Amino acid sequence: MAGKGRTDGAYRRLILVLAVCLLVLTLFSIFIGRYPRAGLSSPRDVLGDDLAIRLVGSLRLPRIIAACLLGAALSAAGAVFQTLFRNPLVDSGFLGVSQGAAFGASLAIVLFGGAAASVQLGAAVFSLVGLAGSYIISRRIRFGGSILRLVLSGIIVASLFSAGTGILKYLADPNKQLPDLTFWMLGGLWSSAWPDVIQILPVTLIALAVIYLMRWRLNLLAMRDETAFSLGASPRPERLILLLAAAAATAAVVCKAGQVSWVGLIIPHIARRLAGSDAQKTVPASMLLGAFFVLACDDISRTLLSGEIPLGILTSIIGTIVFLILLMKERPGARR
Amino acid sequence: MRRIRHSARASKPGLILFLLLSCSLFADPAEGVTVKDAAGRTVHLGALPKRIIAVGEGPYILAHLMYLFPEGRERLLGMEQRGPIATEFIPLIDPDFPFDKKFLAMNPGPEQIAPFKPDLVITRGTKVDARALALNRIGIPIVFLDTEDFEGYAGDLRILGQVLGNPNRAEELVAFFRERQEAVARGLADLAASDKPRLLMAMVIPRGERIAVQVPARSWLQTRMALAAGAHPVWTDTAQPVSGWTVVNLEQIALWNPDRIDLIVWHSLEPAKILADFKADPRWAALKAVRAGEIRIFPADAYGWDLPDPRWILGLQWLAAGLYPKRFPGFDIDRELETFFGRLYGMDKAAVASRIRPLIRMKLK
Repeated sequence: MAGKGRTDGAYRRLILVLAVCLLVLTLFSIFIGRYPRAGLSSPRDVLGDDLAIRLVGSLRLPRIIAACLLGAALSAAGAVFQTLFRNPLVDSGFLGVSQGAAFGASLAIVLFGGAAASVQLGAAVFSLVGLAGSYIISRRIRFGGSILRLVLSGIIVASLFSAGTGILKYLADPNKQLPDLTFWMLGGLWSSAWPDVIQILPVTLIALAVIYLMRWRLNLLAMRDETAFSLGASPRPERLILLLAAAAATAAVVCKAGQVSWVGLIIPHIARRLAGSDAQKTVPASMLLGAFFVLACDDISRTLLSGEIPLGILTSIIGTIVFLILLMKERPGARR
Repeated sequence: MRRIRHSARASKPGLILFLLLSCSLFADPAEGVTVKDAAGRTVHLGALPKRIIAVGEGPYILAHLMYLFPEGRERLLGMEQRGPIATEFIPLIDPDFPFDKKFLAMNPGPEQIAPFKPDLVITRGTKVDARALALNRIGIPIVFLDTEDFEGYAGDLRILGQVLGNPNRAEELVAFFRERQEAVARGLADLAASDKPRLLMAMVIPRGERIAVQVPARSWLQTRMALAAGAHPVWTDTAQPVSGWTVVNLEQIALWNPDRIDLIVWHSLEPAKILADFKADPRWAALKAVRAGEIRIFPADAYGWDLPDPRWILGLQWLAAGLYPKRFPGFDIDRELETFFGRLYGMDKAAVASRIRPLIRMKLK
């Protein structure tokens, strides 16, 4: 009991630290940028400049919120996929969810002129198609363990959708459609504004709420169906709900931010290193850590140079370096 | 006394009216300008912009357009830079460039543009993009210029004339382009469709140690130029997608079997060598155009004459005169070169001879 209490206490402190760090970074992010100074500006600098006020109010604030939502959604989805599929190598990118969303959004741009509703719907539908496709194909592959089958099927589905997006790029009008499609390939939040945040907020928050509230079921659902059922879970419908929530959250953010890789893969791992492998703890830690990580990367992407650095490049570089450091610092032995 | 007071009261409205009229006569006529840009938007500027930034694809094209106007030279504050050098041409006509300009890295967003506090941002395109929406949200106006369309070019020049407060110069430039376009059109007036040669305009671009051959999009200036010059652009024959530069293989080119091939050579390649290689290549030698000696390098100086840069008018004339020399007997490309750089960029003959001519690495005649 004393051990459990210390573990819970340590976890609560971790969550508090992550939440405070996220809050502090969010506040700092308001004053980080290229204007009125490159880097950190003082509140006086910002409030004393009309353009700075407009920039912060119209672009920077919604971008900060979008970054937090993006990070939380991709990380939570990654945690769900890794737990449910019992596979530490999956995230929305490996299961074709992100690529499906990008393909769906691209199709909407080419066929329907990129109307916001059609882009979101297209992203949502094809993200689910990607997920379903990966799962179904993995069940039909006749060799290898479950992990290998899922990884292979995820690669197949992701590649198919990437190829599809490539074809759409090829066919797109270079003056009217291609610029929008090219945006997906880069991935970034530079065009985020309040209408974008309002569009993705409901779906993302609901999906994250579902994942958060059902996080304790993840431990059960990660077991075999018979075991989970015997412990009181309804594995198939509950698994479906969680997968739909994860796919919906991913689709909602991808249709605004484009494809941002590695977040859903790496952040849950880091969260497990810090909070343990209990999904009840990993999921909230992943959300906070993911939000912090993407926000930090986005701050760098819009501040470092006089041009926007694609967000996906930074999340890949920084995420993998951090992950490598954590892996190499891991001591052998069992964790309680 | 009463009469004087009465006259004073009666003359007050008149005095006010007089003062108002006087103010309007002496008011700065340059206050505020409203333009309709290439994206169909009506953009109102409260005053003539003094600080203009050029961003987007091919930012050097916008800079070259700005430099057509004396005011543009002063008011171009800076531009996006998409390569190691912002533009190889402007230093030839402006000794202060690039030292007096500011440069943004590739893909600047509103965060990166805001520090320059521009009065106006100009960009290329006909569709409002996310950057334009974001800039509008923070109150930085942006104007789109088409540049891929002949008719749109006149519109672009007029837009620049309006925002730079020099509509007369804009009309002068419009007239320059229109004269030459109309001369080409007149020369080809009675041309039958069946007499039009099948033309392949293709870009030769390095891909590692090999080269790729690409054809332009249907909607691009290169295609329009080929049509206006009285040619039949073969790449529009097949069910080509409308996308950008598209790689084509020799099989496809053999299927088209054009009457003439104009190669647009990437700047890092040596045009003479490329031409010699193509002629000597037995695979290409089998093509009708190569056998007939109808394979040429499309001209370029610092920039290609096929681009939506003001140089396109040189490209159009060169192409038409090359396809139909008998229809344009008096055409002299050297003289046209001097006229172009003289009237548009203020270069005298000696400057054209010493700075522009050496950059042309292919035969013009």
